[in-house]
Amino acid sequence: MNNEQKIIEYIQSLLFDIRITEDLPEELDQIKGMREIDHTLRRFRTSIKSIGTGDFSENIEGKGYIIGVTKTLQSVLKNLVWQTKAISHGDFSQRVNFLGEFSDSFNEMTNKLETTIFDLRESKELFQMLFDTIPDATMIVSLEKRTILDCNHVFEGLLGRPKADFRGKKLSEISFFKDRQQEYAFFQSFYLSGGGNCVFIELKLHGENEVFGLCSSAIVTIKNEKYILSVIKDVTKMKKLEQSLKKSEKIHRLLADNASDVIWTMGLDGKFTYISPSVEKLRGFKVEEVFAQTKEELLVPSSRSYLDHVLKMATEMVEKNLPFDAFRSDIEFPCKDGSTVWTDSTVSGIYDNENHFMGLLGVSRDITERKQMEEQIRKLSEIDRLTQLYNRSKIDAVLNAEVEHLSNNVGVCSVILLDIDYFKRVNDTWGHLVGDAVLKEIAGILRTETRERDTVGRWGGEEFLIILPSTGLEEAIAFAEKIRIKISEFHFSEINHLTASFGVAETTGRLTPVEILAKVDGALYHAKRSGRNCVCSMEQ
Amino acid sequence: MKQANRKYKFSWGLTGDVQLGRPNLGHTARVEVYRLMQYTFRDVAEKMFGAELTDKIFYDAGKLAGAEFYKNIMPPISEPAAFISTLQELLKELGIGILRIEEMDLDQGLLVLTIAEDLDCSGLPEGGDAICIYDEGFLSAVLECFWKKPFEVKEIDCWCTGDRICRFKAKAIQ
Repeated sequence: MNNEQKIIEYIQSLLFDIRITEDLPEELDQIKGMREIDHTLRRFRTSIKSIGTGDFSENIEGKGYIIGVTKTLQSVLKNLVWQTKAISHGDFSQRVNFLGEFSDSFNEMTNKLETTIFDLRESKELFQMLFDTIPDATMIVSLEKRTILDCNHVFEGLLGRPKADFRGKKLSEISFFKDRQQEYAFFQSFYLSGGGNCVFIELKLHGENEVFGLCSSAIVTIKNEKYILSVIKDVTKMKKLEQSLKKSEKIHRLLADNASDVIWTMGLDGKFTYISPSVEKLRGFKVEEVFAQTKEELLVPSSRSYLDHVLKMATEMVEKNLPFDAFRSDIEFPCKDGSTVWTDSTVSGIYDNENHFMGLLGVSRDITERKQMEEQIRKLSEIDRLTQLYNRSKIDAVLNAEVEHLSNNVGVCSVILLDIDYFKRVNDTWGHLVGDAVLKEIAGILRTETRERDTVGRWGGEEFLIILPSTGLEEAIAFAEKIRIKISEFHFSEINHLTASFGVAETTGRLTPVEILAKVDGALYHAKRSGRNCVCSMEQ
Repeated sequence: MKQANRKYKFSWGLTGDVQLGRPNLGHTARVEVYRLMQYTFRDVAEKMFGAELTDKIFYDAGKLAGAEFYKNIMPPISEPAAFISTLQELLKELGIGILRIEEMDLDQGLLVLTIAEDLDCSGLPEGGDAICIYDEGFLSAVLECFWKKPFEVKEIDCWCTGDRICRFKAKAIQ
């Protein structure tokens, strides 16, 4: 092989082979320039290998184009390392120039990194600002470890310590909750719900005073770990106020429940909102039974219409923003046993602290006894003691009322005046006691025979007056005849038989009570003159 | 050196109003023209004063230029990272070269900088010695102005030494 071939083979070996001879073969060393070529190629191999493995510390020696370019490459790469480190330390002003596509990509990456880091920093700062300025105590706690990751100033104030004291510590270590049960309930709520919740917790904190917090929480994920973000509103004052109100309510309820009077409250819709248990004693219904009653079941008709009027008035007052004047009235309630009970009820409006109408407050006292006494008094003033029929005074009043009604309405009314025939003989013959018995029996007949709408009364001595509303003359005459027969056929206990004479008159409202009475009296006189035991009438 | 025969003491004003003076040709000129002036000047200086003294003249001139450059061209900067990036941008813009940092250890006061496509020497044939003495002075002054301490700058690689970039090693003088 000649020298040329050997040189070519040797250079090929340097360029293409992984393993090469340690040194230039002696025979080639003789050739001028070979030592320099060998040196350059060996240095090139070493340098490019180092650069290829990322080792830019190799001190590349030598001259010439290839070594020079290799050194430039190494210099560029070393500069890139420096720039990359500068960027990783936050210097985003670094730019790569004159390296073609690599420059574009590197610079774009740097821009995006800068933008992303800036955005992240801004988001972090914003979050931190929001976190720190939340007006309620806020903490972030690891769901698994139950340690505090971070908290805001208000939380520090709540605990009375800087956050450095309890960051990384468990809530139980800083005696956060009042007791273990509270802590268990707090964390359990997350395990069960798996998400956000709102729980009421009692805190121990300073250990002396009670602190109540309303805790709103949500689960957040930070670096693939679950945390609880909680905002704790200090509701201690509110809780204490609530406790105080409950206590006050308890006392008031105790008073209301144990008072003998029935205390009740009602809305403008007429529905009870509270009734004291004493209602059972008053009406026989339990409280829940009263609540279930309809308006019709609650009151007797007369009282119901009165209540409707009261509610209507109260509604108008409220709408016009006028104060509701308290009033007092007798109201009648139905009882469970079918009877009724009268109450003296005082009703007033209930207003809140801001003077808003809240409802009606009533106190009802049983006045049955009083009513009974009033009834008795009424009876005494209206009833004839002997016959228990209405007395003259009452009859007059009824007649006046009927005439008044007819003067305003189209209608008719008849009046019957009857007189027992030869009654004086009864008293003279058998005595006044028998006479009284006869009068009572006559009264009994009249009471039995008259209709509910009719009014019967003892007019005087042995005279009786019957007022028949909405009854014409013919009907009244027939009725009078019926009674005449009844009386004539009646077997009186002491005297066997008696008769009576009847006068009947009719009015359509044109006559005064005096004129009616004169008319019916005239008819009676006529009956007496006609032989007694008959019915006579006077045309209008 | 005698100070008596001074015609022009350098000030930045000596760069003149180029816009006024060259309304048509503008700010730019060919690199060869710059190098023509520099190397003919070097040639004459070496003949008159020898290579060593000529190098010192060029180094000192570079320092003067670097200081004036820092004072009149560089904006006020306090951060090292911003200083480097601004210097890079300015050298590129002025066509002086492409500055890159290979190493920077501020604690040790050590920097290794490279300037590719250097105005003075890029493309020059291999002549044996590093020739960018003026640049050494220039960089020394700029670094001293920023870090407020003197730097010794030495070119270790140059086109004239057969490399393809100019590599400078700067060391703070304690």
